[in-house]
Amino acid sequence: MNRAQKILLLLVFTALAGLPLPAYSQTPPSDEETWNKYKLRLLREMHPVSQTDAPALVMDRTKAAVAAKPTTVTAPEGFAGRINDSFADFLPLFQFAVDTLSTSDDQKSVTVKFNPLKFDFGAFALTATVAEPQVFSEIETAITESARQSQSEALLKSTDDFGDITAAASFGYRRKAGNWSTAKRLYGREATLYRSLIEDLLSAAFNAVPASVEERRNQADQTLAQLAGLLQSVTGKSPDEITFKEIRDLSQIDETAPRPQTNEMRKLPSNFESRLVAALFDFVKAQDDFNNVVGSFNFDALPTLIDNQPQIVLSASRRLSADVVGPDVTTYTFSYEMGSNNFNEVLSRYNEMRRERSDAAPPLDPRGLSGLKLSALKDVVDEKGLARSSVSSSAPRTRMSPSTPFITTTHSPEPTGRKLPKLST
Amino acid sequence: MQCGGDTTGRAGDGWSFRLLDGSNLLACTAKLTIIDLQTGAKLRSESFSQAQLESGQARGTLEAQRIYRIDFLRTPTNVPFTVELTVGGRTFSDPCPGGPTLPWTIFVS
Repeated sequence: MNRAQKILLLLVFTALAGLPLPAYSQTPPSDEETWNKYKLRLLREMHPVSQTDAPALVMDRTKAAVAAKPTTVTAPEGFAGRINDSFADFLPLFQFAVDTLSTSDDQKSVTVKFNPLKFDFGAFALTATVAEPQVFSEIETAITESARQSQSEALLKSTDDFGDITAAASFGYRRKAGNWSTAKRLYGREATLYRSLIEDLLSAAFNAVPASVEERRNQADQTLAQLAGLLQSVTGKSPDEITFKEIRDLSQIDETAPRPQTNEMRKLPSNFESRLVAALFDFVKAQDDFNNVVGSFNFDALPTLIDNQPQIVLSASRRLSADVVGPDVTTYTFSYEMGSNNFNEVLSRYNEMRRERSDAAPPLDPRGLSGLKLSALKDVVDEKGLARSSVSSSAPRTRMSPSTPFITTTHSPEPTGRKLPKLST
Repeated sequence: MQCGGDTTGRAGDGWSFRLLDGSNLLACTAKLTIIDLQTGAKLRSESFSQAQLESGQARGTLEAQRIYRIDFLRTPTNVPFTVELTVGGRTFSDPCPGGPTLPWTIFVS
């Protein structure tokens, strides 16, 4: 070897020595870590995912749920407090029917939302809102300005806290999905409507994992099972409870020392830890490949697609108000809402693909049909650019494009025919 | 056991896998794969829907020389959920944060 070759060899060694090692090999299992905790850590180091959003989301939802729960303890003061107190007397009796009792930010109205009634063809919801009575603006402006405030207060004394009540009912049409071959155009945004179809997709993903990845997982599990069997025969402990300190202690017992007769103190092979770490690493690497395959189908775009499904909502509300507050009003609303990227597009893409395949080739077997479902989802998600946005979204059900109603309301103020109270000026 | 991992069981023990809090999930499914401990070959597999997982229908009895692996797929993946695995009377129940999937594996020697 000449001088140039030696230098080259030295440079290669230096370069190799300076290469950053993968994170998982830099952090060996600590004494306190169990088999399972180390396995989980390896997986997370290989496939880092932000863990910060999820706990925050749980906290927010829990707080919202607690705040919305009917309660008599923290009723606000003033008008809203009085209404809350009134409802509180009846809440124990009607708790089965009342979903939430909420107060508006300005404390001027309290809304009772009843549990929705759900049918196969739709969901029916009822709410009642009690607003703080205010003198009808036309009456108020008719009063001379100097006496306006005192007169308005005097008028309001003619009514009570329940002088402005609005009852509203709404019906949302929905069509529950059957299976992939019968589902065509579906309505509604509730997750349960689509569960059977999405479970089919998730099951299809299992079948789409390459056999080589599955075999690697199986073989790694086989090795781990043998090590677990050995460990259990020596310590009586399971992988979920044994720490690496215990494994190290058992691997380091002096061969020449008199061996205790108790089963628990028998020695593990000295290379047990290295074999275990290698097997865990093999498994986690195969598992990471499994997760990457499953992750490539963009299942996290599904909540967005469901959130953009079309929905038809019919609603009616009736405002019952005291004479000084204003006329009674009935409102009817019909709305059709639809987001541009929705699950129906996946269904139509799937049906289109299935037709193309059946024209050209013999009918597909269930595995082939599963592949088409995954392809249809992937096509729509890729085409609409949903993949990146949905993954980065912290909320689980974020709408990609706001779905706006394009048919809106019919409004019918109802003439009351009531006499307005006399005004003294 | 924290959101997936390994444990051991004895032949004849009962096992069950249950979804305790799936209200934030759009959908989920689990697949049980039974592997021969000696050869590493897959013997059979079975899928469970969310309804089956919630009602505790994912259950069975452990056979000797087998590996039972339960993969759990769900969407969205960034929301927490809670599952409960019971093996031979031992129960593992931990809330799982969002993140990658790690299967639950039971070794039966």
